[in-house]
Order: sequence, then C-alpha cells, then structure tokens
Amino acid sequence: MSKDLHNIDDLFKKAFEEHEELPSDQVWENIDKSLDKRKVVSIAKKYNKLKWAATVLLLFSVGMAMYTLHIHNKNNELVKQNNTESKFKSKRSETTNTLKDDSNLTTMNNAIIAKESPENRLDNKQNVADQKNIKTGKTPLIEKNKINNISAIKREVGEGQLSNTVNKQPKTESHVPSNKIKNSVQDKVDTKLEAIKEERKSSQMPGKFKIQLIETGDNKTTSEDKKSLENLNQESDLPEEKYLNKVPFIVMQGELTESGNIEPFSPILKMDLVANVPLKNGVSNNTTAISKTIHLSKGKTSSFSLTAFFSPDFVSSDLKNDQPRFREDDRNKFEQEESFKFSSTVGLLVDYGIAKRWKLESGITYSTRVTDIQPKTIYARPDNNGNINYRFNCSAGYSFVTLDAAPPPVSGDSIMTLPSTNTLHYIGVPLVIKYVFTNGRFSLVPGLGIAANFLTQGKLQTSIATSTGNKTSTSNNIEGLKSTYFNGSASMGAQYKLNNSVEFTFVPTMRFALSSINRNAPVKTNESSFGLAGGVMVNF
Amino acid sequence: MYKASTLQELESLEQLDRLIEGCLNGNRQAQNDLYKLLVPKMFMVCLRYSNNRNDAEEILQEGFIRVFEFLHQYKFSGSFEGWVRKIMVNCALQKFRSKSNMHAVVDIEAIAVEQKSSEDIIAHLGTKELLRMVQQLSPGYRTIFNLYVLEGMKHREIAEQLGISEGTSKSNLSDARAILQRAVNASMKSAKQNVNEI
Repeated sequence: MSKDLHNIDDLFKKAFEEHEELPSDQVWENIDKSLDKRKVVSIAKKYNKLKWAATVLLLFSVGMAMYTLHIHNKNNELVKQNNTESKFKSKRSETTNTLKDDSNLTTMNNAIIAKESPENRLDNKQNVADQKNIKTGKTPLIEKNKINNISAIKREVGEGQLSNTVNKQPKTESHVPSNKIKNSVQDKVDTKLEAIKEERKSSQMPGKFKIQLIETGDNKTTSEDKKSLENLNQESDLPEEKYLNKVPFIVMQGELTESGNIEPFSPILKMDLVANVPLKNGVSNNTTAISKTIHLSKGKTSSFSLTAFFSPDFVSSDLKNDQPRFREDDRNKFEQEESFKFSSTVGLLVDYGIAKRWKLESGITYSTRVTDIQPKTIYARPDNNGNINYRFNCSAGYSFVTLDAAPPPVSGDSIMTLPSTNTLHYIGVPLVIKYVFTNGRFSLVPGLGIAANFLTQGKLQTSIATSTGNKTSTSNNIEGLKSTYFNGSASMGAQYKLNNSVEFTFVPTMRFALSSINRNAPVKTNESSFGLAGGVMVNF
Repeated sequence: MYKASTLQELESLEQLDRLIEGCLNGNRQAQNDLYKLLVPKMFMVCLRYSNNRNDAEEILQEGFIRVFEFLHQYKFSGSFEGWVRKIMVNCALQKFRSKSNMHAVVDIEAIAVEQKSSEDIIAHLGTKELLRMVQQLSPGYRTIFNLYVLEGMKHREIAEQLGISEGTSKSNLSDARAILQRAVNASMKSAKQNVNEI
C-alpha cells in the first residue's frame, strides 16, 4: 500500500511539474486596472520625495550662504587689520621723534588712531575737549617704561592681579611720570600696557580698567563691569561719541585668562592694544579714540552652547486614504476613533555660532506620542504570509491580534476591542539655523530647520473581552510604520541670560511633516505638532 | 524594452533582475513581461488548488497583484519563481480558508491497484485528466495533497498553516491519496474498455 501511495504521489508530481496552462486575457486586464490605481499613489509619493529634496537643498543653500557671508566678513576684518597695521608702520617714521611728555604721547596716539579708523573718527569737539583735559592735568598719563614684547607684559601682569586690583581702585585723579621717547608704535603699545600695570600698582589711575572680552569667563570681574561691556557691545552701531561717554576701560584685543595672563588673539591684533575712554563722570579724561578694537570684538559670542530641554507637544495629524482594501480602512473612522493623549519631546542640543548673529543648532531628541483609540470592531484579514488573523487598524498602521485560546478566525470574522493605545517613540536629529536678536539680558531667537526622526518603538496595546475575561494583546510590530520620517520646524525662542554661562530658554516650536510616518497602510498620516520647549542653555 | 524569453534563460542571463527593477520603477511593459513569463506555471499552481478555472483565475489575479505590491520585499536572492509561487500558494490558502471544510468524511474502499508506471498512466490519461481528479477532491483533501506532495511541506508545517492538528493532516492526505488512486484506476479501466471496443 505504501508503495502504491508513493506511486500516486510520483504520478501527480510528474504530471504537473512540466504542465503549463494559460488563463484568459481578462486576468491581466484586471491586474492592469489594479496597478493603475496604485500608480496614483506612487506619483504622490514621488512628489513627496521631491518636496523633501527641495527642502534639503534650500536649507543647504541658506547654510552655505551664511557660511560664505561669515568668511567674507572675517576676511574684510583681516584686510582692515592689515591696512591698519601697514598704516601704523608708515606712521612709524613720523613718530620717531621724541615725545617729551605724557601729553605729547597721548596727543600723538589720538592722532594716529583717529586717522587709522575713519569709521570711528572722533569729532573735533571731542578732541578739543581731550586736549583741554590733558592740559589741566586730568589725563591719566602713560608710564614711560619700555617693554619690548607682549610676553614680558604677560609675565608682569601676574595671576588674578589685574581685575581684582582694577576693580578696587579709587576714582581719583592720577599723575603718571613722563615717558621716554618711543620710536615705534609697537613700543607705544607695549608702553601703555606697562602703564596700566604701573598705575594699578600705584593706585593712581582714576576709574576702573577692564580687559575687553570679559565674557570669556573671567570670574573676577564685577557684574556691573560685565553689564557695561555688554551694553557697549550692543550699542556698537551708535556714533563713537556715545561710546566715549560709556564706561571707562581699556580695550584690548585679547583674552584675560583665568590665570590672569593676557593672551592676544593674533599677531596682527597686537597692534591695536590700546584705547582709553573717559569716565562718565569726567574724572578721567584720557580720550584716545576707541578705534576698531571695539568694533572687532563686539558681538563676539560663545562658539558653542549646550541646551537641555523638555517640551510638552500638542499633536495633530492629517490623514489621507492610502491603500484602503477593506471596508474598515477609511480615514474618517480613524479620525473619529483616535485622539492624542500625551506627547512630549526631550533633548540635548548644541548651538554653534557661524556668524555674528547666526547660529546652527543640532543635537538629539527623544519624543513620545501616545494615542487613545476608542472601542472598535476589528476584522479577520490575511496577513502578508496568507495567514488569517484579526487585523487592528490605526492611523499609524496595522497590527495582527492573535487570540491563543480561540479557534482560528475565518476571513471576514469580526470581534470587538476595548479601549486601546498606540505608542510611538522616536529619536530625532534636528538641524536648525537661528538668528539672534539681543536686548540686554533678553534675546529673541527665530529659527528654521528640519529633523530626521528614527522610530525606536511602535507599540499597539488592545484588550478584547472574551467569555473567560479580558485578554490584553500587545504588538511591538506595527505594519506600515516607516522607520524614518522627516519634519520641518519653525521656532521663535526667547532667552534670558542669567550670567555669562547660563541662560534660560523658552522655545515655542511648530513642527510640520515633510514626509508621512507610514506607507503601504490603509491611511497615510502626516503629523504636525506645536511644542513649548523650556530649557537651560550653558555657554562654553 | 524587455524581451521575454523563457524564465530559465532570463535567470541564467541575469536579466530577470533588470526586469524586476523595471517593475519596481513602475514600468508597465516590464510588469506585463514578467506576468507573461510566470503566468503559465503559476496558473497551473492555482488550478491545482481550486476546483474550476474561474476560482483559479481569481487566485492568480490576487496573487499577481500581491507580487507587484510586495516586489520591493524580494531580496534578489534565491529563486524568484519560488518566491512568486509561495505568494500564489498563500493566496490559494486564503481562499481555501474562507470556504474551509477540513473534516469532510469520505468512505474509502479498499482499492486494488494495478501496477503501471507513471509515464504509462500519464500517457493514457493525460495531465488534464489528472488535474481534474485533483480538482474534484474536497477543498481540505486537495489542499493537503497539494501542500504535502507538490509543495513538499511536512505535516507539522501544514498543520500550522491551516490551523489543524498533524493527525488531521495525515488522515486527510491518506484519504486524498486513496481517492485519487481509485480515480486513476477507474479512468484506466475506462480507457482500456474504450480501446477494446475499438
């Protein structure tokens, strides 16, 4: 019998292996019609890709334009510096004569700097006033000692001495001994730095002196000094006369390190080390022009900052019928049944200053979306492998629910579910370009960007009432959910500067879909959200 | 333009991949060529799982729609024909489940089998007659016979696919074989009588 049965198997196998049959032409016609319907969808998808590509191109172009502008501005500044340096050098020959007293030296400095900086030129009245002050002996005069190089100054300034001592100095008039003759601008620069040191030692220099770039992290400066410097930097577009009525300080293109050493930024800038501004109360009247030094250093902000934030989000979704195959695959049903329960985003962002007021921001975010789904009827449908199971549809996609104890369903069978939950988790990588408007401690920061969102988990949890009680089914595999989707963002952030290092941020952000979160699902879902991000920014 | 030849030739020449890529790009001519290449064999598969041509054409249609829909999931490894065939079988099983009657009881008589070679029987009866015999089996018997004998599946796999026990699968297969054996014998006898009368 066994052999007979084997023969039967063999008989049919051989008969069917090579045999071929052709169906009627109607079959291909029907397939052709069905493919036409799907083609409409694929065209829509193609346009989505184009939209995405256009957005990336636009943002890239903006970024490149900003970068080019930044480089261009920097080059211009360097050219100006070089010009200044060359002019200083040309003046060297003119200044080789002996400067017999402090007044002479100061006057010469005024003349030189005023000439070198057409945009910062002092008006005649101010110069006249300066000269009067000099004559009446109110001008703080420059120490004559010659220091041959900047490093020598650095050694002499010493750790922590400058700021502390400067801030403690009384606002009294001073007398500085006469200088010896200097025969180069470099010498004058060096001399002035030495003068600062000497005057600080003797406590005879009126007013306070500051090193520019206080905001680089010098903890020894007072908040008043910092505020004054901030204001000065912000008002750099005002006429020079207004500068001159601001706080007294010595501008220096360099950085005061924590150890108290002076670190000039570059060899070129070493030539621009000096500029004294009169005290507001008129005690000090050394009125050397501010020149370019302020202009160059103003607005120089931290290159990097780190922001930690949390944002409750208000999400809305736009549903379009994509591939509805069954009666329950209609977007109107999803819209009626689903509502967002909770949504939030947390993240860590890094800002990088690419130009004076422009920043580029990126980082990492983690977002959670929880959707409540009302009780609904689900139907048994074939899965991709041809097996029949109850299919649970939602706006994110669909999942198959298996009931262990129940008999296998037949296609078309239905069952009622209890309230269900759909949870999606994404890790996002944003890229935002921001522009900073600053007013005192407050800044307004509009931004525009894109973000790539990577699915980390898609979960569908439902319960089904059976005769033996409620059975909960959880699926971590939502069919149709894309692993990545993209969104654009527009934000209007507000920042409050607590101190030089820490700022509070509040950033209302509108995120809009550039691509849908799913495909090959009954509906295509585009998510938009409005987030109110609050956080703390640390400047480096 | 895609020139359809035999599937074997295309596969050996690695042109099949290009044909598939054409389908993925929505090229209707490529889709039509792929259909024409596969349809003779696939329709035979569908005929084996159904009891008439109309049902077989329905399965074929649904199967090809799925092939084009899920073509992006094909990994370009392994037999493409096997991948398409699996989809056709799944579509056939889906149709079978909706009309399922797995536990039909059929009286099987003890059958005396005349020993003849397969080639002789095929020569006498023809493939269409054998196909008709399979189509006349009840859906359950027909499906299990197809899955076990022609798709090479194990009873455990069949049981999982159809949601039945292995025992049911075995007994259904045994019954199907017996019915087919009887049908073959009857047809052979009838063919002999016709020859003698002539």
